[in-house]
Amino acid sequence: MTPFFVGWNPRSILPMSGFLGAICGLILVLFGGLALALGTTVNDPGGGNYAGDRDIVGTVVAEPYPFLVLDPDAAHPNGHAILLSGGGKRGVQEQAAALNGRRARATGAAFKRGNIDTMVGVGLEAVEGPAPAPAATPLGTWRLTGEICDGKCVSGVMRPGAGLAHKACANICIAGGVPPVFVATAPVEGSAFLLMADRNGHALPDTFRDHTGGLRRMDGVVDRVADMLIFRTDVAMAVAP
Amino acid sequence: MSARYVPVSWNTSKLVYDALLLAAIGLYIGVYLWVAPSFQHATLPLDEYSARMAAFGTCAFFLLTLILCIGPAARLDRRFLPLLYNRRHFGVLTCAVALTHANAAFEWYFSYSPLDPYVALLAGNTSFRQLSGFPFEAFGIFGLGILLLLAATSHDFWLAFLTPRLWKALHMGLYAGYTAVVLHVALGALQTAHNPLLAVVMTLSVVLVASLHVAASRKSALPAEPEDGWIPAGPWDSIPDGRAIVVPIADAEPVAIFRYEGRLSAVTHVCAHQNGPLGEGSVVLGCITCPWHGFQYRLEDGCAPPPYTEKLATYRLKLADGMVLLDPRPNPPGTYVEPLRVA
Repeated sequence: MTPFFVGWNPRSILPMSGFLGAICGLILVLFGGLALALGTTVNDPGGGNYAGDRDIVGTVVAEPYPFLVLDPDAAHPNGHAILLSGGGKRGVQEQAAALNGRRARATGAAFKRGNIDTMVGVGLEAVEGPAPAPAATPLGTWRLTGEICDGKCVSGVMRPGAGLAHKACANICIAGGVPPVFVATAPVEGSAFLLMADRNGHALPDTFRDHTGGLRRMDGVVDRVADMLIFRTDVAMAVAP
Repeated sequence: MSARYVPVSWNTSKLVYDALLLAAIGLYIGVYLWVAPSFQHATLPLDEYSARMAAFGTCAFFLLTLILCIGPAARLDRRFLPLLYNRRHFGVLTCAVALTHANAAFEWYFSYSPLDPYVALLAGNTSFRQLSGFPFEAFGIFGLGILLLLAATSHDFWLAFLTPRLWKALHMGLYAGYTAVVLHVALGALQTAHNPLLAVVMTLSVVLVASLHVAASRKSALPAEPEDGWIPAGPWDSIPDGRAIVVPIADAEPVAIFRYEGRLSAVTHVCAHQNGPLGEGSVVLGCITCPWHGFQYRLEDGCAPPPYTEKLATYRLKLADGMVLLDPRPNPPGTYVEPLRVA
C-alpha cells in the first residue's frame, strides 16, 4: 500500500523518511546556494562613502540648491564647491538663503564619490571675512544622457543610492531640498556629476518626479561654477533614450 | 483533529517541520548577509539596510514559491503530504520574513523626511503612467497586506468563525499576493539588476509554480451525465482498498467513494476542517483520514469519532453490472448510509 502520512502519527512518516530527507536536503542546499549566488552578484553600488566629519569655511550659494565654495587653492584654482544637505531627507535652503553670498562656516559629515563632494547634516553659521562671488563660466548647450539622482544618496549615504528601486527615495530627498545631480553616462568636461537647475537657474519644478531613477536624455545649458558643473534644463522635456 | 481550541496543538511532526523551516530561513539569511559579501566583486558592499532588504525580500519570494508548490506536488505524489501538513506555520514565517524586508525598506527609503513616513510611502513615487519607473511599492504593499491578512486569520479560531468555505476562499488570495510580489520584484529590483541571475531564478520559480498547478489540475475528471438520476462512477474494483475515487458532480462538491474491507461508502470530497481533499486521503484505523491534517470520519455516517463533532454529507450508492452508481443528492451531514457490499 502507498505510504500515507498522518500528522498526528509520527510513525506514519517512516516509510517516506528517505524521500523527505532528500527533499529537505535539496531545499536546504538550494536555499544556501541561491543566497550565495544572489548575494555575490548584487549591483556594484559604487565607491561613494563617508569621508569624515568636516568643519570648513567658504562662500554660501543658495541657488539653485545650497552649496559652499571654498577659497581657491593650488588644486582648485577657481575654488571647490561642496553640496550641502540637512539631516535625513532635508535640505538647508532656509539657512543658506539667510547667508547667500556671505562667508560661513559649515559643519557636518562629508561624503565623496568621484568628483561629487557633499556634506550632510549641515549646520551653517556666518563668519567674518571676504566672500568673493564664485567664478561662473558658460560651457554652452549640451544634450546629455544619464540619471537624475539625489546628491546625498548617490554620493554614498546609501549604497546603492541610484536606480529605479531607489526612485521614491530620490523623489522624497529632492522634494525635501537635497540637491539633485545628473549622473551622465559620459563625462562632461571631465565631470560625470552635474548639479541640476531649471532653465533659469532655480530649483527644479515638481515635474522632476517622473524622471528620477531611470536613464533620460535631456537638452540644456551647462555652466561651471567654481569647479562644479550646473546643468540648466527643462526637466519636463526629458525623454527615455 | 480538534475537540476544543488550543493556541497551537504542537506535535513532533510540527516541531520538526518548524525547525527545518527556521533552519532554511536562517541558512539563507546568514549566507546572504554574512558569507556572500566576502565573494562580491563590488567597489564597496551594500549598506546594511539595502543588504537586509535584498536578503529578506528574495527569501520571502522563494518561501512563497515553495508554499505554492507544495499543494500541487502533494496531489501528484502523496509522499509530499508531510510538507503540506504544517503549511500554516510556513505561511506565518514567510509573512514575518516579508515584514522584515518591508520594515527595512520603510525605515531606509521613507523615513527621516519632512513628510510623515506613511505619506512618503504613498506619495514618494506617483509615476503610475510609466512602466519603467512604475511605483512597484504599491504591489509590495498589496502583497504584504495579503500575507498579513492570511497570517492573522490562520488560526483554527478564524477557520471556525468564518466557516471552512469562506476561510479557504480567503486564503486562495495567496495567489493574488504571489502575483503582486512577482510584479513588485519585476518592476523594482529587476529593473536595475545588472546581473541576470535574479531574473532567471524568478522566471524559473514562476514557471515551476504554474506547471505544477497545470499538472495537478489534469488529475481532475469532467463531471459525468446522470442516468435516471444516478451517476456512473466506474467499476468497483478500480477503487484501491483503503483509498477512494473522486467523482465530479456538475455545480456541486465532488464526492469521494471509499472502498474498505469489501464495502463502499461515499462522502463529500471536502473535509469539514479546512476543505481539504478527502478523496485523496486513506482509510486509517477504519476511518476516512484527510491527507491535509489527519481529520477522521466514519465511513458509514461521515461523523468524526467521539469526542470530535465534525460531520460530512453522505451519499447513496448502488451496483449495476459491476459498475458503481452514485446518487448525487447529498444526505444531511452525519446521515447513516449502509455501506455497499461488493466482495
